[in-house]
Amino acid sequence: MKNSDQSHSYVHFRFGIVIILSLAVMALDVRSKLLNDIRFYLESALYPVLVFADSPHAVGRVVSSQLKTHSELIKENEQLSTENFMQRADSLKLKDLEAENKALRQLLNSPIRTKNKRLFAEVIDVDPDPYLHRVTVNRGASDGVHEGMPVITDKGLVGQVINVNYAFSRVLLLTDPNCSIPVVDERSNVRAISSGSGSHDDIIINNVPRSADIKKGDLLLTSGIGGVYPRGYPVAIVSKVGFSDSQPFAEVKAKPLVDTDKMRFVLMYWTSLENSEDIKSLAKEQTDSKVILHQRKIKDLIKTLSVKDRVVDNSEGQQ
Amino acid sequence: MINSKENRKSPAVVLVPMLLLSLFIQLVRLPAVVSENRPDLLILVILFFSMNSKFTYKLEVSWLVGIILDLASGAPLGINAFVICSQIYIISTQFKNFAKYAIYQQSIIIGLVNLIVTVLGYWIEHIIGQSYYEINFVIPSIVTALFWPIIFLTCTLLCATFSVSSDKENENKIN
Repeated sequence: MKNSDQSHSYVHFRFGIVIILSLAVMALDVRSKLLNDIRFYLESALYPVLVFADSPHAVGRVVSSQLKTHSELIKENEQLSTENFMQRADSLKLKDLEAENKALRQLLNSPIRTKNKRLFAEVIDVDPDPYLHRVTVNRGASDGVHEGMPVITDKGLVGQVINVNYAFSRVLLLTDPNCSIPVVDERSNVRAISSGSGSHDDIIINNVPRSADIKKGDLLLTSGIGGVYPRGYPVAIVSKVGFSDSQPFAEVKAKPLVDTDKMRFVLMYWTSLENSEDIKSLAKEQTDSKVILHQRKIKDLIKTLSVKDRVVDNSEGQQ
Repeated sequence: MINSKENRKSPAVVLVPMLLLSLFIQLVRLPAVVSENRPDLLILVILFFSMNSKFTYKLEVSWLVGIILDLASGAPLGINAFVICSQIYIISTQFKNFAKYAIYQQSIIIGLVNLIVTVLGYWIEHIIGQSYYEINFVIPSIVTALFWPIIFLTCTLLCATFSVSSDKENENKIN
């Protein structure tokens, strides 16, 4: 009897230790990021497990592609050739527009974005936790991926990289409630912030004034504010605009353009500014001149105040 | 007969492959509807061995398995370890005659404990800043409970096939 009681108290003690350890590890991982390096190496070591877990899906893909009939392949090939032809024609126009845009930006003395690097990646895993909208892609630190990189597809924005390991990285989808994207309405240029709703079918546009010019069917693009997402990438189409007397803001929902459930390939995207050093110095100069102007204004104000005080003192002395 | 009992193997012979298989099923890419209601097979496997054999370090093994799941799934480190450990602890300490219950009673207990601990886990996740927004806790717990007879039978069969020692045999040996 004594032995069983002892063993039970021993279990309680062990459970206590394990729980404290779990909470401590959680706090260190989430709050202080002290375990980032350890996590990086351990997760990189677990990459084969992820690849192995994706193998049934990969096998299914290979089998389905192998089972396509000859006529289906010819039809697909024709369709792709047509698309390629059209896109080549579009790219000719795009080059002209790019050159024009560059010239105009130079005239306005604005920073020129020229080096847009894109990295092709394949989705190898979807987060098993149904409450987190994240996918794992097969590109990591070894390919130059870094945290915060925007991820796109041919249809629009997917999200951003939140966790990078040696051989793979995790992408937070735009439908996750933790993901907020600065957007702009293509038609009316109204700026807003979109947040994920937790559903793959819609995202929420937060704090839109009731008077804002946003209509159902409007295309929302990335506004470029914040510097994480490049400007002008399509995000979603407004699907619902509702007003309620009890709410100070309009209830706006939008349907993402990318079907995050079905996407297989993505592009990891990053921009670098040409002559970034010049731009940095220019920005600093502007800031400095602003500061100088502000300081001058303060000095003038102090001078005028001191002159007024003297005048008042003099008048009091005469009286 | 005595010799055959003495030659019984350690539970690890079945436990380790079953844990790896369960981990694989937990991580494998499935359609969204199935993925949302995936059973917690890791808990069921650990629970079977913690009830049916001299599995001394069940809490430590649960914790380690939970940490591996956290690392592989990208969840906050420690959250799955906490959830798995808590369930094993609650069932093994609060239901001392769990092994003697009928399978359907065991399923009900597993479902309820799984539901409570999952809610607790999401509560902790919310506190540490990982927000949640759906209340789909019930169906995964029901699925986990429904999978218990399958895991129970599979593990019993595997233990018999690989001659893994059980509690009853060990008790008989001592007596």
